[in-house]
Amino acid sequence: MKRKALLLTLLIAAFILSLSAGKTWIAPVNWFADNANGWIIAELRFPRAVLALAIGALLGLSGAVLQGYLRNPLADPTVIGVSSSAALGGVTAIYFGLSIWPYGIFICAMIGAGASVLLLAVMAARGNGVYSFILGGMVLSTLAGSLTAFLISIAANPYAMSEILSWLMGALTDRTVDDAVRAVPFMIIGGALLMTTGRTLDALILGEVGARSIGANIVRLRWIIIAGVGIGVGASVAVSGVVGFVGLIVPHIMRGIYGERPSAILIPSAIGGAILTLTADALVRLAPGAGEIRLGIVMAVLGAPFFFALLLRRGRESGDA
Amino acid sequence: MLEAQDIRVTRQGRNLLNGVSAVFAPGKVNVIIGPNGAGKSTLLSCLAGLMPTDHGAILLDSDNVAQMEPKLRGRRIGLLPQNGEVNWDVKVRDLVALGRFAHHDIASDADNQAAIISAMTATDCMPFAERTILRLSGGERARVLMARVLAGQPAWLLADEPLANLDPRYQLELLALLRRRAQGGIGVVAVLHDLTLAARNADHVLLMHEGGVFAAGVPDEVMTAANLNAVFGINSEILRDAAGRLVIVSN
Repeated sequence: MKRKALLLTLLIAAFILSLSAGKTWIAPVNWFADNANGWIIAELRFPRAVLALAIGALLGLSGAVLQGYLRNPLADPTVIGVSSSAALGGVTAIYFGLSIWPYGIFICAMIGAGASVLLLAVMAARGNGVYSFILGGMVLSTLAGSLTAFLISIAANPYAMSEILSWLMGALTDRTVDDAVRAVPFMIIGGALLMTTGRTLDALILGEVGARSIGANIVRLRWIIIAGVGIGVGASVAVSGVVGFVGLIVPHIMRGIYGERPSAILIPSAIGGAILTLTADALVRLAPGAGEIRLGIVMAVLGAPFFFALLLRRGRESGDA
Repeated sequence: MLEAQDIRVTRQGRNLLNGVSAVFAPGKVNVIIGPNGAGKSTLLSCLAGLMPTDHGAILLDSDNVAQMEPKLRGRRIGLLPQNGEVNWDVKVRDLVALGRFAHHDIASDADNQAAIISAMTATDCMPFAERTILRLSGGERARVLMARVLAGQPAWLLADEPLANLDPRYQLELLALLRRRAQGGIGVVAVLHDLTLAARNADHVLLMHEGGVFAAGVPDEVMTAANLNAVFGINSEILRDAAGRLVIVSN
């Protein structure tokens, strides 16, 4: 319980940091001031902090659920191509002009994310082993990336092209209250679906045959995960582009603290994901110069070495890398 | 009674089971033997209600296993799968608690805890209840997985090659455990590879060959040199030890 209190304290601290930090530091006493500072908080930083919290929590939770489902600590929405498939869906929406409708990008990104989880679930059911699965995810990620690049390259005008590119790189810069109002409900729905998976994920400790033998409904679990990850990750990519590796890093750390039982790390991974994303998104604003570093780039720089370290360690443990 | 009625299973054009009928009695150690590919594991999966059959039915006290609600089936039939898959490095106590998965909604916490403790005591797992799986020896791990099945207090215990990867002492311990459970009234169905261990521990033997039943009955009747030689393609000799129990020597 002490550990949960600590996590929640860190979360509140990260949220306060996210509201305060930027080119202009605004101390909490000035948050409600009737001046430019109060406006920055209300219109810019508060929606941005809420989005960072929701996206981070959703990505951390998605990572923990996908890892439990696939029984593989290397699974993460970015690594296995779910985020890039959602991005492909989003770019397709922009390309065909569906982005004029406020929810166009959302729906298409969710379909992209859901379809990729479905494909990966079918691959996992075929049971070709952990590494072929990760390789399959990487191929999917590359394919979605190439198709996205193709759509960008045939985009009608350079303005649209730069819009797409800047969205893809992943950032929370200049997100408005409207963006938050649109995206957060989907992430709550997706997150709520994923939160129901804990006990069945625990059953999968015994493998699929073992889980079914004790009465776990693996088919229903698969559809819940496809819907939950599709809706949640789809919405997060639609609003922020690809912010990678949160779902890889956070569950791994939480396993070290709370043990490896999948249900035990769901809530901690959500809180930890929110802390990581809020903090990273506060730090990117502190970059020297006029602009910001993109959140997606920071997370990739943090996450890629982490992934390699995990891969190497697992390879040594199982001897089949 | 656990009964297979004319079970046929075809997968990708191959007949895995072609018309298997068998009756297993509660309170007995029922052993399935046969060469690789004879359909032993397939039959066990069907008995556990985990593999759809193309023809025939599995009846558990006249209930069709395939149509049972999964959690009800999980409470009545416990399965110890082949190879003992465990995916995360969880605590022994948490792993054993998975045996109560299907009871979670209907039994009290106290009942669940009592069943978990009793299963761990029966398998001698209490000394390392707080350890994690990767820190156990092969024999300890096998006992923990057995405790997981026993925690569910199933009326039937199906075990697919439970002796694989165990040294002789643990093999005998596990067989003794199955024997005690059968004496307690549970129906045990186990797939075994070691013919002598099968002959000595079985009350009832099902000898399978090429997806069908070659012979069934008490070990003395089924495990004859003629039957074993025909099914396994070996040259075996049936001896008896001082106590009159079978010893099977293969040349």
